[in-house]
Parts: sequence; C-alpha cells; structure tokens
Amino acid sequence: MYDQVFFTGVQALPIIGIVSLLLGAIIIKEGHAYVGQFVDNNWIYKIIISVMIRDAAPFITALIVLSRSGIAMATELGYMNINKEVDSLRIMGISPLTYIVMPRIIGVSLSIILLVIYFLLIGIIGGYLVTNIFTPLPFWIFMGKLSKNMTFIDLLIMFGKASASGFFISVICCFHGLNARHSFTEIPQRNIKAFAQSAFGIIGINFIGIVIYLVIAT
Amino acid sequence: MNLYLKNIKLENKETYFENLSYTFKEGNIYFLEGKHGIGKSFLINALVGLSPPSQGDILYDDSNFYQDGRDQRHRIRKNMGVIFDCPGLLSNLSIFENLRLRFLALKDKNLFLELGSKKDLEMDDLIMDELRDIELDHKKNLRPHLLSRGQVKKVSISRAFLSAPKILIWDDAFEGLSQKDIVFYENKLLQLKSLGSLVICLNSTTLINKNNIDEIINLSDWRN
Repeated sequence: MYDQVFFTGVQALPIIGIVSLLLGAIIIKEGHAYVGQFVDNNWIYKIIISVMIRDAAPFITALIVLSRSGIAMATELGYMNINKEVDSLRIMGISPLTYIVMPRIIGVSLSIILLVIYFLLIGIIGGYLVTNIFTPLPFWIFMGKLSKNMTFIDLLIMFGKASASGFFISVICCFHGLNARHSFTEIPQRNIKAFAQSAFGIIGINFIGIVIYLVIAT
Repeated sequence: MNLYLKNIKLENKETYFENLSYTFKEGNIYFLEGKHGIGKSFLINALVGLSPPSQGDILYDDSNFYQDGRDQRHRIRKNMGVIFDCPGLLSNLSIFENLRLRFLALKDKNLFLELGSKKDLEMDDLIMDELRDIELDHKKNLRPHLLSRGQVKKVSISRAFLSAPKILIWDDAFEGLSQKDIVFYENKLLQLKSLGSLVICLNSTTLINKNNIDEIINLSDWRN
C-alpha cells in the first residue's frame, strides 16, 4: 500500500503541480478578460471555488491518476496474472483480493485525496499570482476572501468526487488487470477497456457531483 | 495425505480426460509423463484448486477439495507445495521476501504487518538455510528480475519445498535444471517421501533416476 501511495501520490506531484499552476493562472487570466470588468471583485474567488475546487481539481486529478497509475496498475496485474504470480498466491492460501487488490484500492483512494489538496494549493498559488497582477493584494487577504466565499459543501463535493473517482479507477483497473489470463497480448486490450470505462466513470461521478451540488445549493 | 480422483472430467474446448479415477497414495513418488498439449498443466490446475473439473470429485483424504468450502480448501493448500511451469515469484518482492511470504501464509500471520518486520528469527534462519542450499544467500535482497532464469526457477522450487509439504505437485519437473541441481532436488524428493509426503511430478519425459519413482504413468493412457 505504501508503494502504491508513493507511486500514485508522490511521483505524480510534478505533473499535478505544473497542470494546476497553469490552470489556476489561466482560469483567472481568462476570467478577467471576459467578466472582470463587469462584476465586483469577488468574482475571482467565485471562479476559483466553482472551477478549481468543485470541478477541475477532482476531475483533472482523477484523469491524471487514471492515465499514470490506473493503467500502470492494470498492466502490472495483467503481467502478474499471466506469470502465475496470482495463482501462486492462491495456492499459498493468500487471497489476491486482500493481498493485491485492497492495498491498491486504499492506496489510490488515499493518494487521489492528497493529490487534490496539492492540486488546490498549487492552483490557488497560480491564481493568486495572476490576481496580483490585476489587483495587487497581500496573500493572507486573498486567502481570507477565498475562504469566506468557500462553503463546507464545496469541499464535501470535491473530496467526495475525488475519493469516488479513486475507488472507481482502482476497482476497474484491478478488475481488467486480473482478467488478462492467457497471453501478454491481452494486456493492452484490457488497458484500453480499463481506460475507457474508468474515464466514463470519472465523467459520470463528476456529473453526479454537479447534480448533487445544484440540488443542495438551490 | 492421499489424493483420490473420482470420475473426473477435464475439458476446455476439447475434452482432456473423462471418467478418470485414480488414487495417489502418500509416501509415494509418481511421475506423470505425456507429450506437450496432452493436458498436464490443466490437470495440475484441477488438482490445486484453480480450475474445477466439469464432472467428478477430487478428494484429499476424506475432504472433497471443491465441495467442502473455502476453509477446508485453505487447510489442504497449507499442506501443499506447488511448482508451476513458470516460476510465479512475486516480482515486487525480493527472493527472501518471496520465501518469507510462503512461511507467513503457512502461519496465517497478518501479511501486511509481518512482511516488513524482522521479528521471527527462527523463520528467517530457515529461509537463509534454504537460500544457502541453492547458493543464492548473497542475493537474498534482489528481486526475481535481477536473477537468471535458472536461479529464479530454483527459488520457486525452494518455496514449494519450504516446511516439507505433505503433497508436492511439480509441473515440468526438473526441466531446465543442471545435472547437479537435478541430483540435489531428487534427494529432496526422497527426503519428502521418507517423511510420508505424496509427490506428483509431471513432464514430457522422466529426467530423474526411474528407480526412485514408485510409479510412472503415461498420460496418453488416461486420454480418451
């Protein structure tokens, strides 16, 4: 499980950092170009919360985790299965579900939550840097205003979407990895299925998250 | 532990064996010979619980392997050493940890808590003795992909021999081993036999001294 957290969480930090920094900056820059002149100053925080926290952070992080770790996991389990490593575990009386699958599900679900927090921190810094160009203000005031505009529901939706996506990705990728049984050529075919189904799942989870938010918020 | 095959039928697109009944008695070494594709690996999968026969029963002593439930199957598997045609060592563990995993499974220990610990010195000594026997003690911390194919094969054989199983099932028995290793493992089989274990080896040809084998079975006699 520690290995999974390290691989899924720690090793993904650079790519998540770059994406979130740029995204945070772009959202504010583009937002300012379109709506900045017409509305009050709080629009910056509302955009960060609605786009970054509620939607982009869990969605983009899940897609990165899927394309990095999910597919790697499906490939690894596919190789393990075809090399009879999984059969060896069964013969020794060790359940592959508890020894191989569970640590991966817990590891990915935990990592994705930590990555979303990291995504937000970096994205907010990017947003702050760009905001500072249009309306210079100290970081602590920026953070104060941001937290004032943020509700518990925003965080709940974000963490809910992230953990559900992590769970879904790991279950689907483990399932397809363990179902590559006969030859190595099955592994890429299973990877394609794992990616497509997980991506649909992530979109579905995010859609449900938006619907839940709209129901609660209105 | 005796093994009884009762009217079993093994099929997978084609029928390999039908109405097959046989008794493997403890304290004996059996060598099942048969050309490639005759169904050796398929038979092994059925014997070790990976693929149930489409008909008939497999019994270890008085326990029906597929019908007496998971706990019973687990109990039988703890007494079983299996060597597949490919090594099947866990690629994310060192060879020492691979052997340790087998011991922990035998002792029903919590794998996550125990695998990284170094508390059971007696167990570790036994594993080191085993690695010393196959001259791989100096490579104990290496993962399987860093060893040669022959070395990995020897570790997987050692894993099956650990703790003297009451039943040893060996696919592609003695295949790819040097003459020195063949003699070494032949002696190990004889030791197991002297302890009353049942040994079933399968290969296309018998690679060990036939005088040490209690019965050689030609699998083509079992085919329909």
